[in-house]
Amino acid sequence: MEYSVQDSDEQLLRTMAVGDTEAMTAFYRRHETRVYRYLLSKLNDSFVAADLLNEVMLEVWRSAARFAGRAKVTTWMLGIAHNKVMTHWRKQGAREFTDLDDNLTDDTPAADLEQALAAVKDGQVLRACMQTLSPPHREILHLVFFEELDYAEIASILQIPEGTVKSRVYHAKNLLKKQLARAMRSS
Amino acid sequence: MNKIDEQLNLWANGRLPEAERQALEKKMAEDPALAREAEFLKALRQTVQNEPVTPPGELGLARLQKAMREEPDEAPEMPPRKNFWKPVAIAACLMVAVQAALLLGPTLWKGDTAVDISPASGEGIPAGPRLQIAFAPETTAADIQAAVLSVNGSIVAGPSALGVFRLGLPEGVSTEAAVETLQAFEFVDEVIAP
Repeated sequence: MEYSVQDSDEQLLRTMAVGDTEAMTAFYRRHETRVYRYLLSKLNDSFVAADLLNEVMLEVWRSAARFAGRAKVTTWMLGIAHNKVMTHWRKQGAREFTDLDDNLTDDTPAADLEQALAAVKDGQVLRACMQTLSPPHREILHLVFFEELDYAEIASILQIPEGTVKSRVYHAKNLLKKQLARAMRSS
Repeated sequence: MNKIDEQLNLWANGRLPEAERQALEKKMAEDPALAREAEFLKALRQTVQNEPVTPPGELGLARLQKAMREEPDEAPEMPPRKNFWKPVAIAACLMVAVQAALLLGPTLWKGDTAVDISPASGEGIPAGPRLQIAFAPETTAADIQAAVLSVNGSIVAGPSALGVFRLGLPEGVSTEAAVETLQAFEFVDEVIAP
Protein backbone atom coordinates (compact mmCIF):
# COMPACT_ATOMS: atom_id res chain seq x y z
CA MET A 1 0.00 0.00 0.00
CA GLU A 2 1.23 3.51 -0.85
CA TYR A 3 1.18 6.12 1.88
CA SER A 4 0.99 9.86 1.32
CA VAL A 5 1.43 13.05 3.30
CA GLN A 6 -2.30 12.93 4.02
CA ASP A 7 -1.75 9.92 6.26
CA SER A 8 -1.23 11.21 9.79
CA ASP A 9 1.55 9.89 12.00
CA GLU A 10 -1.11 8.26 14.17
CA GLN A 11 -2.57 6.43 11.15
CA LEU A 12 0.88 5.18 10.18
CA LEU A 13 1.51 3.91 13.71
CA ARG A 14 -1.82 2.09 13.75
CA THR A 15 -0.93 0.32 10.49
CA MET A 16 2.60 -0.42 11.70
CA ALA A 17 1.13 -1.99 14.81
CA VAL A 18 -0.39 -4.76 12.66
CA GLY A 19 2.92 -5.37 10.89
CA ASP A 20 2.68 -3.17 7.78
CA THR A 21 6.30 -2.57 6.74
CA GLU A 22 5.30 -0.07 4.03
CA ALA A 23 3.85 2.17 6.74
CA MET A 24 7.18 1.95 8.57
CA THR A 25 9.00 2.96 5.38
CA ALA A 26 6.74 6.01 5.02
CA PHE A 27 7.25 6.87 8.69
CA TYR A 28 11.03 6.54 8.38
CA ARG A 29 11.16 8.81 5.31
CA ARG A 30 9.00 11.38 7.06
CA HIS A 31 10.96 11.54 10.32
CA GLU A 32 14.48 10.39 9.55
CA THR A 33 15.99 13.88 9.27
CA ARG A 34 14.24 15.12 12.39
CA VAL A 35 15.47 12.24 14.56
CA TYR A 36 18.96 12.33 13.05
CA ARG A 37 19.27 16.08 13.66
CA TYR A 38 18.18 15.66 17.25
CA LEU A 39 20.64 12.82 17.86
CA LEU A 40 23.41 14.83 16.24
CA SER A 41 22.63 17.81 18.47
CA LYS A 42 23.16 15.60 21.52
CA LEU A 43 26.01 13.41 20.33
CA ASN A 44 27.97 15.59 17.92
CA ASP A 45 29.03 12.37 16.16
CA SER A 46 27.46 11.45 12.82
CA PHE A 47 28.38 7.73 13.00
CA VAL A 48 26.86 7.18 16.42
CA ALA A 49 23.87 9.32 15.42
CA ALA A 50 23.27 7.03 12.40
CA ASP A 51 23.50 3.93 14.62
CA LEU A 52 21.08 5.33 17.15
CA LEU A 53 18.72 6.52 14.41
CA ASN A 54 18.41 2.86 13.40
CA GLU A 55 17.76 1.85 17.01
CA VAL A 56 15.16 4.57 17.51
CA MET A 57 13.26 3.61 14.36
CA LEU A 58 13.40 -0.08 15.29
CA GLU A 59 12.01 0.79 18.71
CA VAL A 60 9.21 2.81 17.06
CA TRP A 61 8.40 -0.26 14.92
CA ARG A 62 8.33 -2.53 17.98
CA SER A 63 6.35 -0.11 20.12
CA ALA A 64 3.84 1.19 17.56
CA ALA A 65 1.03 -0.76 19.21
CA ARG A 66 1.86 0.77 22.58
CA PHE A 67 1.57 4.41 21.44
CA ALA A 68 -1.16 5.70 23.73
CA GLY A 69 -1.77 9.07 22.06
CA ARG A 70 -1.13 11.03 25.26
CA ALA A 71 1.53 13.13 23.48
CA LYS A 72 2.21 14.09 19.87
CA VAL A 73 3.89 11.33 17.88
CA THR A 74 7.00 13.49 17.40
CA THR A 75 7.25 14.15 21.14
CA TRP A 76 6.92 10.41 21.85
CA MET A 77 9.52 9.59 19.19
CA LEU A 78 12.03 12.17 20.42
CA GLY A 79 11.51 10.79 23.94
CA ILE A 80 12.58 7.38 22.61
CA ALA A 81 15.61 9.02 20.98
CA HIS A 82 16.52 10.74 24.26
CA ASN A 83 16.37 7.42 26.11
CA LYS A 84 18.52 5.72 23.46
CA VAL A 85 21.23 8.34 23.90
CA MET A 86 21.13 7.97 27.67
CA THR A 87 21.48 4.19 27.32
CA HIS A 88 24.34 4.67 24.85
CA TRP A 89 26.16 6.95 27.27
CA ARG A 90 25.62 4.53 30.11
CA LYS A 91 27.09 1.69 28.02
CA GLN A 92 30.05 3.88 27.15
CA GLY A 93 30.53 4.69 30.81
CA ALA A 94 30.32 8.34 29.84
CA ARG A 95 29.16 11.13 32.08
CA GLU A 96 25.42 11.47 31.72
CA PHE A 97 25.29 15.15 32.55
CA THR A 98 22.60 14.45 35.11
CA ASP A 99 24.67 16.48 37.54
CA LEU A 100 24.37 19.58 35.41
CA ASP A 101 23.32 22.26 37.86
CA ASP A 102 20.75 24.39 36.11
CA ASN A 103 20.33 26.64 39.13
CA LEU A 104 23.90 27.91 39.27
CA THR A 105 24.09 31.65 38.87
CA ASP A 106 26.35 32.96 36.13
CA ASP A 107 28.54 35.70 37.58
CA THR A 108 30.55 36.37 34.44
CA PRO A 109 29.78 39.60 32.59
CA ALA A 110 26.97 39.42 30.06
CA ALA A 111 27.97 38.95 26.45
CA ASP A 112 27.98 41.83 24.05
CA LEU A 113 24.64 41.23 22.34
CA GLU A 114 25.62 43.21 19.23
CA GLN A 115 28.68 40.98 18.70
CA ALA A 116 26.63 37.85 19.34
CA LEU A 117 23.94 39.03 16.94
CA ALA A 118 26.48 39.61 14.19
CA ALA A 119 28.05 36.17 14.71
CA VAL A 120 24.86 34.12 15.01
CA LYS A 121 23.94 34.79 11.38
CA ASP A 122 26.99 32.85 10.20
CA GLY A 123 26.16 29.13 10.10
CA GLN A 124 29.77 28.00 10.43
CA VAL A 125 30.45 30.23 13.43
CA LEU A 126 27.20 29.14 15.10
CA ARG A 127 28.06 25.45 14.53
CA ALA A 128 31.52 25.92 16.05
CA CYS A 129 30.10 27.76 19.06
CA MET A 130 27.35 25.17 19.62
CA GLN A 131 30.01 22.48 19.74
CA THR A 132 31.64 24.18 22.71
CA LEU A 133 28.42 23.83 24.74
CA SER A 134 27.62 20.77 26.85
CA PRO A 135 25.31 18.17 25.22
CA PRO A 136 22.31 19.15 27.42
CA HIS A 137 22.71 22.81 26.43
CA ARG A 138 23.09 21.98 22.73
CA GLU A 139 20.12 19.66 22.96
CA ILE A 140 17.82 22.15 24.63
CA LEU A 141 18.63 24.90 22.12
CA HIS A 142 17.89 22.42 19.33
CA LEU A 143 14.53 21.52 20.85
CA VAL A 144 13.56 25.19 21.27
CA PHE A 145 14.81 26.64 18.00
CA PHE A 146 14.74 23.73 15.57
CA GLU A 147 11.85 21.65 16.85
CA GLU A 148 10.11 24.85 18.01
CA LEU A 149 8.71 23.11 21.07
CA ASP A 150 7.36 24.81 24.16
CA TYR A 151 8.76 24.10 27.61
CA ALA A 152 6.04 21.59 28.56
CA GLU A 153 6.77 19.46 25.49
CA ILE A 154 10.52 19.59 26.14
CA ALA A 155 9.96 18.59 29.77
CA SER A 156 7.99 15.59 28.54
CA ILE A 157 10.76 14.46 26.17
CA LEU A 158 13.61 14.93 28.64
CA GLN A 159 11.59 13.75 31.65
CA ILE A 160 12.62 16.74 33.73
CA PRO A 161 10.54 19.44 35.47
CA GLU A 162 9.42 22.42 33.40
CA GLY A 163 11.32 24.72 35.76
CA THR A 164 14.54 22.88 34.90
CA VAL A 165 13.82 23.34 31.20
CA LYS A 166 13.31 27.06 31.81
CA SER A 167 16.61 27.54 33.62
CA ARG A 168 18.52 25.29 31.22
CA VAL A 169 17.32 27.27 28.20
CA TYR A 170 18.26 30.51 29.95
CA HIS A 171 21.80 29.32 30.73
CA ALA A 172 22.27 27.75 27.30
CA LYS A 173 21.35 30.99 25.55
CA ASN A 174 23.69 33.04 27.73
CA LEU A 175 26.58 30.63 27.22
CA LEU A 176 25.99 30.61 23.48
CA LYS A 177 25.93 34.42 23.35
CA LYS A 178 29.28 34.53 25.15
CA GLN A 179 30.82 32.03 22.74
CA LEU A 180 29.45 33.94 19.75
CA ALA A 181 30.73 37.27 21.06
CA ARG A 182 34.15 35.72 21.72
CA ALA A 183 34.22 34.26 18.21
CA MET A 184 33.33 37.65 16.79
CA ARG A 185 36.10 39.39 18.73
CA SER A 186 38.71 36.87 17.67
CA SER A 187 37.78 36.97 13.98
CA MET B 1 14.73 33.65 33.60
CA ASN B 2 11.15 34.89 33.73
CA LYS B 3 8.00 34.35 31.71
CA ILE B 4 9.14 36.77 29.05
CA ASP B 5 12.08 34.48 28.30
CA GLU B 6 9.77 31.70 27.01
CA GLN B 7 7.56 34.26 25.31
CA LEU B 8 10.55 35.57 23.36
CA ASN B 9 11.41 32.04 22.19
CA LEU B 10 7.82 31.41 21.11
CA TRP B 11 7.76 34.80 19.39
CA ALA B 12 10.95 33.94 17.46
CA ASN B 13 9.35 30.62 16.45
CA GLY B 14 6.09 32.31 15.43
CA ARG B 15 4.18 30.28 18.02
CA LEU B 16 3.10 33.05 20.39
CA PRO B 17 -0.71 33.50 20.52
CA GLU B 18 -1.86 36.66 18.76
CA ALA B 19 -2.84 38.67 21.85
CA GLU B 20 0.46 37.88 23.61
CA ARG B 21 2.39 38.63 20.43
CA GLN B 22 0.88 42.10 20.20
CA ALA B 23 1.56 42.81 23.86
CA LEU B 24 5.16 41.64 23.53
CA GLU B 25 5.78 43.68 20.39
CA LYS B 26 4.45 46.73 22.21
CA LYS B 27 6.99 46.13 24.96
CA MET B 28 9.71 45.73 22.36
CA ALA B 29 8.80 49.06 20.82
CA GLU B 30 9.35 50.66 24.23
CA ASP B 31 12.46 48.69 25.15
CA PRO B 32 15.26 48.60 22.54
CA ALA B 33 17.28 46.01 24.55
CA LEU B 34 14.30 43.64 24.50
CA ALA B 35 13.91 44.21 20.77
CA ARG B 36 17.58 43.36 20.17
CA GLU B 37 17.25 40.20 22.28
CA ALA B 38 14.24 39.17 20.18
CA GLU B 39 16.18 39.89 17.02
CA PHE B 40 19.05 37.71 18.27
CA LEU B 41 16.67 34.81 18.94
CA LYS B 42 15.04 35.16 15.55
CA ALA B 43 18.46 35.07 13.87
CA LEU B 44 19.47 32.07 16.00
CA ARG B 45 16.32 30.21 14.96
CA GLN B 46 16.90 31.08 11.30
CA THR B 47 20.50 29.84 11.28
CA VAL B 48 19.63 26.66 13.21
CA GLN B 49 16.80 25.91 10.76
CA ASN B 50 19.12 26.44 7.77
CA GLU B 51 21.87 24.21 9.11
CA PRO B 52 22.51 21.56 6.45
CA VAL B 53 22.42 17.96 7.58
CA THR B 54 22.84 14.71 5.66
CA PRO B 55 21.00 11.82 7.26
CA PRO B 56 21.76 8.22 6.20
CA GLY B 57 18.83 8.26 3.72
CA GLU B 58 18.09 5.12 1.70
CA LEU B 59 21.08 3.31 3.20
CA GLY B 60 19.66 3.91 6.65
CA LEU B 61 16.26 2.69 5.49
CA ALA B 62 17.79 -0.49 4.02
CA ARG B 63 19.58 -1.09 7.32
CA LEU B 64 16.35 -0.65 9.25
CA GLN B 65 14.47 -3.01 6.93
CA LYS B 66 17.16 -5.65 7.38
CA ALA B 67 16.90 -5.27 11.18
CA MET B 68 13.11 -5.55 10.94
CA ARG B 69 13.41 -8.79 8.94
CA GLU B 70 15.72 -10.19 11.59
CA GLU B 71 13.22 -9.42 14.34
CA PRO B 72 11.58 -12.56 15.71
CA ASP B 73 8.01 -12.98 14.48
CA GLU B 74 6.00 -11.37 17.21
CA ALA B 75 2.93 -13.54 17.26
CA PRO B 76 0.62 -12.35 20.01
CA GLU B 77 1.55 -14.26 23.08
CA MET B 78 -1.27 -16.40 24.40
CA PRO B 79 -1.44 -16.37 28.17
CA PRO B 80 -0.87 -19.80 29.69
CA ARG B 81 -4.08 -21.67 30.35
CA LYS B 82 -5.00 -20.97 33.96
CA ASN B 83 -7.99 -23.27 34.30
CA PHE B 84 -6.16 -26.53 33.66
CA TRP B 85 -8.00 -27.92 36.68
CA LYS B 86 -11.35 -27.95 34.90
CA PRO B 87 -10.79 -31.12 32.83
CA VAL B 88 -9.51 -32.76 36.01
CA ALA B 89 -12.63 -31.64 37.89
CA ILE B 90 -14.92 -32.95 35.14
CA ALA B 91 -13.17 -36.32 35.18
CA ALA B 92 -13.45 -36.47 38.99
CA CYS B 93 -17.18 -35.68 38.84
CA LEU B 94 -17.67 -38.39 36.27
CA MET B 95 -15.87 -40.91 38.46
CA VAL B 96 -18.07 -40.03 41.45
CA ALA B 97 -21.20 -40.33 39.30
CA VAL B 98 -20.17 -43.73 37.97
CA GLN B 99 -19.29 -44.97 41.47
CA ALA B 100 -22.62 -43.77 42.86
CA ALA B 101 -24.50 -45.53 40.08
CA LEU B 102 -22.61 -48.76 40.76
CA LEU B 103 -23.13 -48.59 44.52
CA LEU B 104 -26.78 -47.58 44.51
CA GLY B 105 -27.76 -49.29 41.31
CA PRO B 106 -29.09 -52.60 42.69
CA THR B 107 -31.63 -50.97 45.02
CA LEU B 108 -32.74 -48.08 42.80
CA TRP B 109 -32.97 -49.76 39.47
CA LYS B 110 -35.14 -52.59 38.46
CA GLY B 111 -34.45 -53.77 35.00
CA ASP B 112 -33.85 -50.68 32.90
CA THR B 113 -36.14 -48.31 34.74
CA ALA B 114 -35.54 -45.88 37.57
CA VAL B 115 -38.37 -46.50 40.00
CA ASP B 116 -38.17 -43.99 42.82
CA ILE B 117 -36.64 -40.94 41.23
CA SER B 118 -38.63 -38.23 39.47
CA PRO B 119 -38.05 -34.48 39.18
CA ALA B 120 -39.74 -32.44 41.92
CA SER B 121 -40.87 -29.94 39.27
CA GLY B 122 -42.74 -32.65 37.53
CA GLU B 123 -41.01 -31.84 34.26
CA GLY B 124 -39.39 -34.65 32.39
CA ILE B 125 -35.63 -34.75 32.31
CA PRO B 126 -34.33 -35.14 28.77
CA ALA B 127 -33.81 -38.77 28.25
CA GLY B 128 -30.90 -38.37 25.82
CA PRO B 129 -27.17 -38.36 26.43
CA ARG B 130 -25.46 -36.23 29.04
CA LEU B 131 -22.54 -33.85 28.67
CA GLN B 132 -20.32 -32.09 31.18
CA ILE B 133 -19.46 -28.54 30.31
CA ALA B 134 -17.40 -25.73 31.86
CA PHE B 135 -17.42 -22.10 30.81
CA ALA B 136 -14.77 -19.36 30.85
CA PRO B 137 -14.93 -17.17 34.00
CA GLU B 138 -16.26 -14.08 32.18
CA THR B 139 -19.13 -15.95 30.47
CA THR B 140 -22.53 -14.30 30.89
CA ALA B 141 -25.89 -15.95 31.56
CA ALA B 142 -26.93 -15.01 28.01
CA ASP B 143 -23.85 -16.78 26.62
CA ILE B 144 -24.66 -19.93 28.59
CA GLN B 145 -28.25 -19.80 27.41
CA ALA B 146 -27.17 -19.47 23.80
CA ALA B 147 -24.80 -22.43 24.12
CA VAL B 148 -27.39 -24.68 25.77
CA LEU B 149 -30.11 -23.81 23.27
CA SER B 150 -27.76 -24.37 20.33
CA VAL B 151 -27.89 -28.10 21.07
CA ASN B 152 -31.57 -28.10 22.25
CA GLY B 153 -30.24 -29.16 25.62
CA SER B 154 -31.10 -28.29 29.18
CA ILE B 155 -29.06 -27.91 32.32
CA VAL B 156 -29.81 -30.94 34.48
CA ALA B 157 -27.21 -30.33 37.16
CA GLY B 158 -24.72 -27.75 38.23
CA PRO B 159 -22.94 -25.59 38.44
CA SER B 160 -20.76 -27.53 40.83
CA ALA B 161 -18.39 -25.74 43.19
CA LEU B 162 -15.87 -25.89 40.37
CA GLY B 163 -18.29 -24.39 37.84
CA VAL B 164 -19.11 -27.62 35.99
CA PHE B 165 -22.61 -28.01 34.49
CA ARG B 166 -24.28 -31.20 33.35
CA LEU B 167 -26.32 -30.87 30.17
CA GLY B 168 -29.07 -33.20 29.09
CA LEU B 169 -29.60 -33.65 25.36
CA PRO B 170 -32.77 -34.79 23.57
CA GLU B 171 -32.99 -38.44 22.71
CA GLY B 172 -31.42 -39.47 19.45
CA VAL B 173 -29.09 -36.44 19.27
CA SER B 174 -25.54 -37.14 18.18
CA THR B 175 -23.26 -36.52 21.18
CA GLU B 176 -20.28 -35.87 18.95
CA ALA B 177 -22.15 -33.23 16.94
CA ALA B 178 -23.33 -31.55 20.14
CA VAL B 179 -19.78 -31.51 21.54
CA GLU B 180 -18.52 -29.97 18.33
CA THR B 181 -21.25 -27.29 18.36
CA LEU B 182 -20.51 -26.38 21.98
CA GLN B 183 -16.74 -26.31 21.52
CA ALA B 184 -17.21 -23.73 18.75
CA PHE B 185 -18.22 -21.13 21.36
CA GLU B 186 -15.21 -19.06 22.49
CA PHE B 187 -16.45 -18.95 26.05
CA VAL B 188 -16.75 -22.74 26.39
CA ASP B 189 -13.66 -24.06 28.14
CA GLU B 190 -14.29 -27.80 28.14
CA VAL B 191 -16.96 -30.20 26.97
CA ILE B 192 -16.75 -33.85 27.84
CA ALA B 193 -19.10 -36.58 26.71
CA PRO B 194 -19.13 -39.47 29.20
